[in-house]
Amino acid sequence: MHFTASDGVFLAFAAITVGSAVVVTLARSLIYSAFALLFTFFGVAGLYLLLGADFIAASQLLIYVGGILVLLLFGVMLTHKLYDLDLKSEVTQFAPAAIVAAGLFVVLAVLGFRTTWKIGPGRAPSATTDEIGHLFMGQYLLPFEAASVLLLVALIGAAMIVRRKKEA
Amino acid sequence: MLPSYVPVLILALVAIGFSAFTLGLSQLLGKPRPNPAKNSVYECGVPPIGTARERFPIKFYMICMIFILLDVDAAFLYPWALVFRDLGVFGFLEMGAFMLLLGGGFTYAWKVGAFDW
Amino acid sequence: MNAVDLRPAYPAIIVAVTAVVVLLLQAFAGKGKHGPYVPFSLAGLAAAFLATVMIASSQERGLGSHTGGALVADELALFLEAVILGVALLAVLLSSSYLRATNSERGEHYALLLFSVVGMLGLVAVTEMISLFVALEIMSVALYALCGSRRDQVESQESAVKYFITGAFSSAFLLFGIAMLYGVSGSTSLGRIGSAVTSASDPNHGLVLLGVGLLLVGFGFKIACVPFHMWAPDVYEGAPTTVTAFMAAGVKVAAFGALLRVFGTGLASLADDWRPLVAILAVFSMVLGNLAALAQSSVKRMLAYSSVSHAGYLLAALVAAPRVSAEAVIFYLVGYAAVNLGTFGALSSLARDGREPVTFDHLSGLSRRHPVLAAAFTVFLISLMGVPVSAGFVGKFYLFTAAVGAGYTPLAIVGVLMSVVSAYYYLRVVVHMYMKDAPVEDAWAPVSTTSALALAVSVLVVLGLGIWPAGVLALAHAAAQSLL
Repeated sequence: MHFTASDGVFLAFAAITVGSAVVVTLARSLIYSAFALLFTFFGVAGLYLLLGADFIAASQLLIYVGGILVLLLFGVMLTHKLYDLDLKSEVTQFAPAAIVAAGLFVVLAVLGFRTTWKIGPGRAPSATTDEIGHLFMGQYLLPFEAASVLLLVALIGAAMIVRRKKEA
Repeated sequence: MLPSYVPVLILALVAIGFSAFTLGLSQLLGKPRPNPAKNSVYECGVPPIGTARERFPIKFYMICMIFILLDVDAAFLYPWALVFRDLGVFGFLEMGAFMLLLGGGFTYAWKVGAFDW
Repeated sequence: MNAVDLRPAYPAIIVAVTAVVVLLLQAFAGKGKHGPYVPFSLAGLAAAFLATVMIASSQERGLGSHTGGALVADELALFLEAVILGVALLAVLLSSSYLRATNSERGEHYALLLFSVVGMLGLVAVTEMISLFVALEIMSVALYALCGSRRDQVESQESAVKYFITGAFSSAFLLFGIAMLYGVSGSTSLGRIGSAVTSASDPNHGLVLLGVGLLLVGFGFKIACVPFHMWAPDVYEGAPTTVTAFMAAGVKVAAFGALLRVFGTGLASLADDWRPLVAILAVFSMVLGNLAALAQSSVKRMLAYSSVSHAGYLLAALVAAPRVSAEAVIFYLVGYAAVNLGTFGALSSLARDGREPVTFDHLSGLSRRHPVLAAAFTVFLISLMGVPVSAGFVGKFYLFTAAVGAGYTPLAIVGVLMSVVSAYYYLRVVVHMYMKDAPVEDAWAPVSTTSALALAVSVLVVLGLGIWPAGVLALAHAAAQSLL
């Protein structure tokens, strides 16, 4: 097994993802965590691309980087004195968390190697988007329409929570 | 490997390289000569009052939330648009139902003043 | 392009359209005015109920096999859909006077309730994991918002946040489990997942176990069984009481319906693996739920812990392989839904000027001011205890019989012992209502006509199932058969 360019790109994206994820969890300030998350999302999008999932990668950038992350930053800014909050002092359960995480890692790694993964036909699809479109409009029509209900519910919920108190 | 994405990769590398190069260059060649005026928040302008780290009004959250919902909506529209020709009227109706539901939601949000600033 | 059979989704579509109409009624109602939300909601739910009955009485069975199997209209789905729609009808009736008493009558409230019903209807009919997840999220997101709908109460806000955080957490577990099972089977369809792994010697067995475990954790949060129950007391207590009533009844029915289908069809071949896990969850839920309920001073919290313990009773039957016990679980769910609507509904119907009974003391002397309501409340508590002539007795009898039949006799013994323990805290309410004097006379509102109607229906269901269980048992039997 020799090292290909594709492996190099994978390693680069994996390093970006894991490295920034470490910053997200360990940063002292929430705002640093939020910005580090940008790189985590970016790295994950790169991994999706490497797997040939172009639509997922684009959605990842569009929704997570463009939307969720901005919402997260607003969330920090909406909250009083959250900027400078020293989160580190609150972390007291480092050892149990480390043990659980390490155990989970071992389990997942072992299973990942032992499992014979159900892999589709041995071709990387050139572009997945129109296939996804066909599935949305055919086989997965009901979940697709239900997704619009879900978005609607989220919208109503947000409007209801944000509404001014005196209107209630 | 996906050869079609190689240009994107090259562009990313160029962008990273360019910013690293220019920043490094100014670090190497520039001489820092700080003075109080230079270190103020706006180098030439009104001195700021208080901290910039105020709480933001909740309105930002509402707008952002609606933006995300539209964002997801747009992500759903994209695969539909690609196969629209194959599907014909049926596909149009399917998407129509999808948009109508969300349209109802936005009408509601509009009428109850979620967009009022 | 093959046509999509939408018939199994008709009830859900009707409810969803009603919800949008109610939402727009609110949007176009003038400032400070109320639209006809209640009649519209009731009409929509009744229409959906009718659609369910019509599909059930038509000759075709297992409708919707060519929607790619997203939804199915078999006996199990149709029966539980009817139950959920009944729960929603009663919840709307209860809400109308409660929302007026707490000054929070808004169209969104009904719209969200209806959307939540859409999710529940989907949940009991899914045959495919993506739909399962979307349905679960629709139900949950609507409920998160409903829990926080009382802006004037910090407890309500707290309950929304707690429910949301734990709910989102559990959804992540569920999704992870689904991904594991997809990795093995290459499909999200329950049938194909079931046929992908059958023997323990399969090299993929480990991954399947992980997937099943994660699914169980995800469902565990939704049905509030120990150790995934921590949110339940705070959420049940803080949420507006009619929302609690709807949640305690509807979510249990929908989540157990989905649990029956997922573990009864998709994962039935792995029963030997997950049965011990379910048994452990059942024991912990029964024991800890009942013991914690003993120590509560708030009636709502007591009922929340009691709901944890009842999740345990239901799980105890589930170990008997869903195909055997489905009948018992389904029957129990009907009576239990009515009881939950009744207990929380009784509390909510007393609300006046934004206040409502919370502690045991608040219920003191209730039998004098509200003799009928106190009697109804007693009926519900008797059913929760599992005393004969109530739905709870027949239900528990079948649950524990199923557990014994599967060779899990200790589970049944724990269940019976814990039911005896539970009598203490249920009877405490009765003692307060009948044998203590009210500290303040006339503190609570007279029960409105709509609430009285809803409570009367609940009492009838509870007593009817206790005295004449055969009819519903036959339906439950047919529903269980459709799992085969």
